[in-house]
Amino acid sequence: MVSSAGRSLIVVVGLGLAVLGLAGCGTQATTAPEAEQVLAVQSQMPFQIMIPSYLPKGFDRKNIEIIADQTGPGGEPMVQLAYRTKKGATVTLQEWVPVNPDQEILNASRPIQTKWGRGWNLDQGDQLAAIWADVGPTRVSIYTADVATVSNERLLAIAETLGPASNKVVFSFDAAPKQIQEMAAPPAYEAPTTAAGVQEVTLVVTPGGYSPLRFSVKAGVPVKLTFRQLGEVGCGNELIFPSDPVNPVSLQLASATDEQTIEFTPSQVGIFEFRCSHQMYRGLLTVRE
Amino acid sequence: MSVKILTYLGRPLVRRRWPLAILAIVAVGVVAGGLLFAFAGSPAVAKAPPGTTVVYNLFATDGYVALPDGGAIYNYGFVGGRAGVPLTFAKSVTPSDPDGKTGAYGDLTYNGNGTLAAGAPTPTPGPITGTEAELAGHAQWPAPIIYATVDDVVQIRFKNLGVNANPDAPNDPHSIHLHGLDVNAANDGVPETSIGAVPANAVTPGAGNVIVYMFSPKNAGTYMYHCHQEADIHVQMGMYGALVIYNKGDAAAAFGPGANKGGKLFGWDYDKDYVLLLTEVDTRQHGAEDGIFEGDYQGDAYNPVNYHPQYWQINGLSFPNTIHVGSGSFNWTDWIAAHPGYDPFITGSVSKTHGNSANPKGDKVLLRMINMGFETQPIHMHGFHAKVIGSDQRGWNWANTPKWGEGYEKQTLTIGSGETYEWLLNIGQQSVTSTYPAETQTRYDPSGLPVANTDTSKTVITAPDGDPYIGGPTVSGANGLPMPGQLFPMHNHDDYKATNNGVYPGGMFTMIEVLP
Repeated sequence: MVSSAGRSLIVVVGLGLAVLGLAGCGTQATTAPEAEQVLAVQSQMPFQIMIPSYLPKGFDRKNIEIIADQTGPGGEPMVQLAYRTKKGATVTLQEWVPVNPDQEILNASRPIQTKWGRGWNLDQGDQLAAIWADVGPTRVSIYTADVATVSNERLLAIAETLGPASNKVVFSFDAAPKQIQEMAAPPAYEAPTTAAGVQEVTLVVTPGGYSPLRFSVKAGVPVKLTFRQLGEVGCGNELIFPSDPVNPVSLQLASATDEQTIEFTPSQVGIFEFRCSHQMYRGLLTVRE
Repeated sequence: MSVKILTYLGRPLVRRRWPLAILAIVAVGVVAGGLLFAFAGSPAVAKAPPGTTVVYNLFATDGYVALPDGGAIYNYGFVGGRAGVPLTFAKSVTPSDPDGKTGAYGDLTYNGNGTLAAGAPTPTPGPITGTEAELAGHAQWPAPIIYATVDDVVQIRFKNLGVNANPDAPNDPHSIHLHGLDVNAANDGVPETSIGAVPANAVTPGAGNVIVYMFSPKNAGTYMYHCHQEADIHVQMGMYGALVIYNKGDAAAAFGPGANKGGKLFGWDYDKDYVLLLTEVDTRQHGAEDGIFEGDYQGDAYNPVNYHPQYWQINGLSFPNTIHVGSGSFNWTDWIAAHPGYDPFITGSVSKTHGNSANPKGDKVLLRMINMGFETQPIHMHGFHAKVIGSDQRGWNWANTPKWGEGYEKQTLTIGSGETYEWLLNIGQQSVTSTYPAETQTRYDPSGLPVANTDTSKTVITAPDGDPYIGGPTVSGANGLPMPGQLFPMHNHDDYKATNNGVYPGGMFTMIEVLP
C-alpha cells in the first residue's frame, strides 16, 4: 500500500524522467512551493521552465521573484527566477532557447562540462560567479553576486539538479558534491606537410591575438613558419618564437604587409609558448613525437 | 642651440564678447531653474532587492557629430541603453564641406533624434536586423551612462554593428573595458590581454556575435567604460561613457545621475548628482579615420603623439552648449533627450535643509568628475570650495573631518586622464542674491533683461589703444541692486581650453547656478 503522497511522487517522477529522457539515476524529491508560481507563467514561454531541486541553505523558495517579460541575450523569450536569502544573497536563473547558441557568448567564461553537456563558467573571484548550462536546447544562466554564500561549485550543483516544475516537487538526480570540470581544449591545429616533406604554417597576429592560437608540429620534420599581421597590432609585430626553446628567435614585421619566414626542424618534444615582445599576445606551439 | 621663444606682442585686435543670446538664455535659465526647483518633489522610491539584474543593450558603430562652432567630425561610439527603457538617440548629422587640413567638416545638416519606444533592442546574433539597422551609423557622443547599485548583477549585451555612416572607414573590432572595476585579466576588455575584441558585423569569423559582459560592482562611486581596441584611436573617436555605481538605498539609484535625486557616498549625504565627463577633440584624428585628413605639414599620416586638440568638452558639449544654448543646429531639448543624465549645467538651492546639524543649509551637489581625455585638466570653480570626498571609487575619509569648511576642500581640482573624483559642492556656501552697483553695466539689467557689454549708453573702460574694454564700465555708483540667482563659472583653468578652437568663451566651461 502506497500513501497518496507516495503515489503522486511516483507519477511525477515518471513524468520527470519522460520529459528529461533520463533513466537509471537515483532520485530525490524536494518540495517546491514555488512551482505553482512558475507554472503560472509557463504558458508565456515556448519551452519547459526548469527549477532546481538543490538550493544552498537559507534560500527562500516561497518568495521567488519571477520575471517573464524580459528577453534573452539574442532577443528570445526568457524567464528570470530569483531566489533570495533573508540576508539578501540572491541566486538568479535565466532560461531561454538561444536562436544561435554559438553566437551568444558569455564574455571571459571558460568551457566546462555539466552533466547536461556543455556549459561555461564565469569566475570573477569574490565579485561574481556565473554558469551557463545548455540543457537540451534550453540555455540556463545561473549567477550570484554573493560568492561567499554560493560558490561556483554550488552554482554547478544548482545547474545539475534542474528539472521541470511540477505543482508539488522538483527532482534531484544527483546529490554528489560538485567540482568544476573544465572542458578539454580542442586539439591544437596540426600543420600540414607538403609534398616536399615540409610542415607549413602561417601564423597571423590580429588585434584579437594569434591565429592559430595553438598549433602542433611533428618533431624531426622541417617546419616553414610564415608570420604576418592583420590590422593594428602594436607590439604584436614582433614575434618571439621558440624554434629553439632555449634561445627563442625574434621575427619582426617592418610594415603591415611585411612577411617574415623562419625554417627550423623541431627536436624537443613538448609545449612551448610563443609571444609578442611585451607578452600581451601569447600562443602555444606543441611539438609532438 | 637656439631656443625660439614665442611671445604675443600686444593684445589681439578683435575682442570677443559674450553673445547676447547666451546672456538672455542665462537670465531665462535663472527663472526656469527656480521654477524647476519649486516643483521638485521626492516621490517614494521602491527599494530594489539585492542582487538585482540590470541589463544594458549596447551596439558599437560610427557616425558624424556636430562641433560647437558649426562644423562636424567623424566618430566611433556606442548606442543603446537600459533594456526596456524607451530609447531616444541622437541621429548622426550629415556632414558637408570637408577640410583636408583639419580633418573636420565645415558644415552639416542636422537630422534630429530617433526613437525606439520599446527601448534599445536586444542584440540578435548574426546579421544586422531591421531594428538594429535603425541604430547603425548613429554612435552617441558620449556613450549612454550605465548605472547600477552595489551588488547588482549588470549584464551588458554587446554587438558590433560595424561602420555604417562611412562604410569605407576601418571596420574595427571593439571591446568594453570597465575602467576601475578590478576584474580579472580575462574580463578586462583589453583585446591583447583579455578575451579578444568583438569583430564588426562583416564577413569575418565571429562577426555578429553577441557578447554578454557580466559584472557585479562592490564599490560605489564613479567609473567609466570605454573601448580598449587601439585605445589611442578608439577613445579619441568617442567610444566612452560614464559608469555610476550607487549605494543600496540611494534614491538616485533608480534614476541615474542628473535626475535631481540624492544619496549617500563615502558617508556624505548629497541631494543631487551630476556627471562631468571631460574629453578633448583633435579633429585630425577623426579626419584620419574618416579618410579626409590629408596629412600633417610634412604630409605624414596622423600620428597620435602629435595630439593637439582644438575642442574641449564636458559630457560631449562645449560652452555655450554646456549651459543649454548654442547657435546653428544645437537644440538643447533634443540633446538632453538623447543623452539623459549628461546635463553639465549645475544648479542648486540655497534653502534646502537636512535636519542634521552637521549638514548646513543648501543643496549638497555631488559632482562626478571623470577625465576620459588624454590631457590633465585643472577644473576651477568660482565662488565655492567643494569637498573632495573620494577619488577612483574609494572614499577619502582621511582627508575630511565630518565638517564643512575644512579638510580637502578645493576650488581647483587637477584631474589626470583616467582619474575620477567625487567633488561635493555645498550650494549653501553662497547666498542667492548678489548686489551689483546700480550704475554699472552688468549682465543683469534692472528691468530684468540682460544687456550686452557693448551697450554704448554706459560708460565703459577704454583700453590703452582706445578700444572699448570687455570688462565693462567704470564702477561709479554703488546704490546697490540685489539680483537673485547667482551664476558662477566653472571651467578649465588652462584658459585656452575654455575656447572653441581658440574662440573664447567656449570649451570646457560651464556654470553653477545658485537658486532660491
